[in-house]
Amino acid sequence: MTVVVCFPLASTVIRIWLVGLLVLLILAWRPLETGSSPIRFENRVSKTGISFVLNNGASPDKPIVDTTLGGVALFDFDNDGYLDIFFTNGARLPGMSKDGPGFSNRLYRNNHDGTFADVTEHAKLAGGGYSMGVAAGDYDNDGFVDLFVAGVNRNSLFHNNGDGTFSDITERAKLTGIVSGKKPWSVSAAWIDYDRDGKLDLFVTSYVDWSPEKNSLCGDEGKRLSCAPAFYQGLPNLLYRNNGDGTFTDVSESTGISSHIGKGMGVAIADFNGDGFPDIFVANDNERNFLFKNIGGKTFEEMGVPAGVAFTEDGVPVSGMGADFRDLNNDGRPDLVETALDGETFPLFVNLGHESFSESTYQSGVGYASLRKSGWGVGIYDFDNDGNKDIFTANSHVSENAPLYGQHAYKQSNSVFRNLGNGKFRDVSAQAGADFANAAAHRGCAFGDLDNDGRVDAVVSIIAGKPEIFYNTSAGGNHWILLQLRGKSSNRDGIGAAVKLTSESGAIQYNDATTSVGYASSSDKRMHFGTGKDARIREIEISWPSGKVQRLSGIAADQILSVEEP
Amino acid sequence: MNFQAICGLFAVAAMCQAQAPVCTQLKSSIDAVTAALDKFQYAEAARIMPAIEGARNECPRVLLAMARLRAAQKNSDQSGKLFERYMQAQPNDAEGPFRFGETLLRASYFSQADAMADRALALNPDHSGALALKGQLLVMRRQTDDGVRMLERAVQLDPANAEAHFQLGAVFDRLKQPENAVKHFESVAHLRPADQRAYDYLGLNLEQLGETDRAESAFQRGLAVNGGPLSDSFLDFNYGRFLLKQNRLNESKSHLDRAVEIAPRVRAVLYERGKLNLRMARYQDAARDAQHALDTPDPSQVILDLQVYALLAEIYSRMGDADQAASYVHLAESAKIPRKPAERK
Repeated sequence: MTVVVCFPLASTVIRIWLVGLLVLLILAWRPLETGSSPIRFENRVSKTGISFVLNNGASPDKPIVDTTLGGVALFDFDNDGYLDIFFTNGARLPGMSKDGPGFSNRLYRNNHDGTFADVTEHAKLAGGGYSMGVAAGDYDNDGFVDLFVAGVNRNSLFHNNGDGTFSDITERAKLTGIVSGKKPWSVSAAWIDYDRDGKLDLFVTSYVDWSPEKNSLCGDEGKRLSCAPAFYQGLPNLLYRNNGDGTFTDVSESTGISSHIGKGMGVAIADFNGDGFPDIFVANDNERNFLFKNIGGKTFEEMGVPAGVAFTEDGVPVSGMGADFRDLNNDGRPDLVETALDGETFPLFVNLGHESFSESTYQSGVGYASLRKSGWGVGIYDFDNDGNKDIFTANSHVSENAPLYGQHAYKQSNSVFRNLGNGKFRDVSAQAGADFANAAAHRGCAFGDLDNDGRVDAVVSIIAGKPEIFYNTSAGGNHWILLQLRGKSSNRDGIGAAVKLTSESGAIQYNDATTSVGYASSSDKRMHFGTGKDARIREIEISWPSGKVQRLSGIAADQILSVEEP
Repeated sequence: MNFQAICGLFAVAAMCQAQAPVCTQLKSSIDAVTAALDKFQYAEAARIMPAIEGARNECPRVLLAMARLRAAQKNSDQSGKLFERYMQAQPNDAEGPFRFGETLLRASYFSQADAMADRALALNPDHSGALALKGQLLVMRRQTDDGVRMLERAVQLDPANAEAHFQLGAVFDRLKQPENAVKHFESVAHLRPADQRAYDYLGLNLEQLGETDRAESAFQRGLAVNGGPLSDSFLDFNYGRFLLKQNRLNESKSHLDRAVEIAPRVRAVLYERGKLNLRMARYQDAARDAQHALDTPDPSQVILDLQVYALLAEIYSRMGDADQAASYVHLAESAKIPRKPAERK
C-alpha cells in the first residue's frame, strides 16, 4: 500500500507485473480446468525418412483380403538398444504377388536421432505374397530377434543371422501354414512358450477360407463393399511346438487348438488364471471369442463362454479385431480389451479371478466413447507413466465404400482412453494433440519406446498412406522403468515372465512379458512400467517361465534395466 | 378462391350456405380441438368437442375433428363414416383423405391408407401432411430413399409438421444416423410435447452419441408425459437399460421392474432384468427372469436364444451350479449366430 501511494510509477509496474502473473497463472491453470490430458502424441513420420505406404492392391471388387492387412513390428533386430520398425505389406490382386517395390514389406533401422534407414533389401526381408501380420521373437535363443510373417496362402519365418540379414527358413522350419495341402490365411501370430521348455513356440490365428476364385461380391457395382466374414468358412488356428533344432511341429490337433474353428484376427497372451502357464485369447470376427486355457503345457481347453469373454454382456459376439491382455486395475489379474466395429463398442473384460470375467465396457467409460468407432490395433500401456495402464486403439471402418451406405466414416481418428485409476477411463483423444486427430484408414499398431525416453510410443499403419510414427510427448515428469529381460533356462526374450513391481510408495503393478499386442502386430519386448511420482522402486519380482522367481530391490526408476535370469 | 365459390362446387351446397356465420363463431374452439388432436392431447379434444359437435352439419371442420377424435377413441365405424361425410362435403380438400389415410395407417390398413395418400396428393401435391403420409408408406415398403425425399419435402413445406419430423427421425434411427435422428426428434418434442415416443427415441439416439446427460433428460421427460392412447410401453425398459449401463443399479431396477409389469410377456424386458439381477448378485431372481425369458417366444429375434443361454450360463456359474452352467455353455457354444442385416448381400 505504501509503495502504491508513494511511487505511482512503481505501482504501475507492479500492477502490470501482477496482471502478467495473473495471466500466467490462468494459462497454467486452464488445462486442469478444461480437463486437458497429459497424454499427447506427435506424429513425426515426415522427419523420420520413412516413406513406406501400406499398399493393399485395392481392386474395384473390394475383396475381403484388402481390408485386413497392416501388421507392424517394433523390435531391435541389430541389438543396438534402439527399436527398429518392420511393416508388412499387401500384394497385387488377384495374383497376390509382390511384383513391385511398392508391395515390399519394409524394415527400417533406427538411427538413434529420430531418423530411420530403409534396410529392407540388405536384410532380405522384402517377403513374398500378401502379408498380414508379424510376430518378433528369438525362437532359437541365439540373442537375435527373428521374425514370423503371417499372410494369405503363405507364412514365412525369417531367421535373424546377426549380421543385419535374415534368411527365409520357412520350409525347413515347417511353418508354411499349409495343412494337408490347404493354404492358410493367417492374420496374427504370437510367440509363446506354452510348454515352458525354454523355447518359444508359435500360435497363429487363421481367418477364413478365401481365395480370388471364392470371392463374393457385396454392395452395388461401382461401390462394392468388403463382404462380411459370414460369407466364408472359418479356419482352425495353428499351434507349433518348437523342437529346438530349427524345426517346429504342428501340434494344433494334439493340443485341442484346431478343434475350435472361428475366424481369428487378433491374439493376446497372458496367464489369466495364475497357474504359471500362458493362456491364449483369440478375437474372432463375428464369432464367439476363444480363450484357450493352458492345461499344464500339454493341451488347451477352450473356455471363452464359461469365462465370460466369448460374448459381450448382451450375449452376442462382436466383430473382434485386435486384443490386448494386461492388468488394467493393478489387482494382479490380466484383463482384456478387444477392438470391434462401429456400434459394438470396444469390449473391456475385467478379470474377477476364479477363471471368470465380467464385461465392464460401459461402466468403465469406454462404451459410449467407442460406440461409433471401428478399431483394429489396440494396446494397454501406461502412456502418462502415472502407474495406471491406459488404452490406445487404431481406428477405421472396414470398407472404403461404407460411407456410401450410411454415415459410417471409413477414415477415423485413433482413440486414447486414460485410466483414471478407479475402474474408469476417459476418452482423451481430443486433447492428445493435433496429429492425433488425423482421420485415416488405420490398421495395425505396435508399441514401444522408440527414443528410450521412458514414454511408450506407437507406430500405426495406414492403408494407402504413410504410417503414423507417434512419439509420446506427454509431459508431467512421472517416473518409469523399462525391463529388458534375458532368460537363461527360460526363453531368451523372457516372453511369458510375470512381473510384480512395488514402487517406493507401496503402489503395486503387474505385467506379463509378450510381444503379441493388438492386431497383427508385435510390440517392444521390453516391459514398461510408469511409477508416477515414485523415483525409486522398492521391489521387482519376476516369475520366469522356468519357474524361477527373482527379486530385485531398491532400484532407481528412469532407466532401462537389463535383468538376467538367475 | 373464396368461401362461396368453394361451396358452389359442392353437392352439399346447403351445408355451405349455412355454415359461414356459425363456423366463424366457433372458429377458436374448432382450432383448439384441431390443435389438441395434432398434439395427441385427446382428452383435451374430447373435453372441447361437445361444445362444437352440434355444428357438424354446418361446419365441415367439425366433422373432420369428430372423425379424428373417434378414430383416436378406436371407434373406427363412426370415424370412417364421419371421414366419408367430410370428403363428400369438401371433395377438393386434401385434408380429408390425408386424415383418413393417417387413421387407416394407424389401424394397419396399408393399401387403403396408400390410396388415401395418393388421393390427397392428387388434390394438392404440396400438402405437407399427405406428403409425410406417403413418405412413411414408402419407407415401410423399403423404398427408403423415395420415402425420405417425400418426408423432407413435407418438412420443407411445413417445418411445424411434427409427424413428418417423427417419421424422418424414425428412418434415421433405423439407418443408425443418430445425429439426424436427434435433430428431428427434438423438433417433435418441441411441436408435440406430449409425444412420449419422441422422447424415447430421442433418449436412445442421444445415448448413441454418448450424450448421456441429454439422453437421461429425454427419458425423464418422456416418462413424465407417458400414458394415454399412445403410451410407450418401452420407456421404462429403455431408461432402465440406460441406467444399467451407468451402473445405477437400484434406479435401473425400479424401471425394469415397472417394464416387466407393463410387458410381462416380452423376452427383451425379462432378459434385461435378468442381467440386472445378475449384476446385483441376486442370482435366484436373475435365473428366474432368464428362464422366463427363454420360455417366452421372441419371433422377431430381438433377443436371441444364444443371448439367454449365455446369460444363464453366467448366472449358474456364479451360483456354483456347475452342471446347469455347463449345459447352458454347451447350448451357447452350439447356437447359430444369425447374420447381421448389413452382412446380407
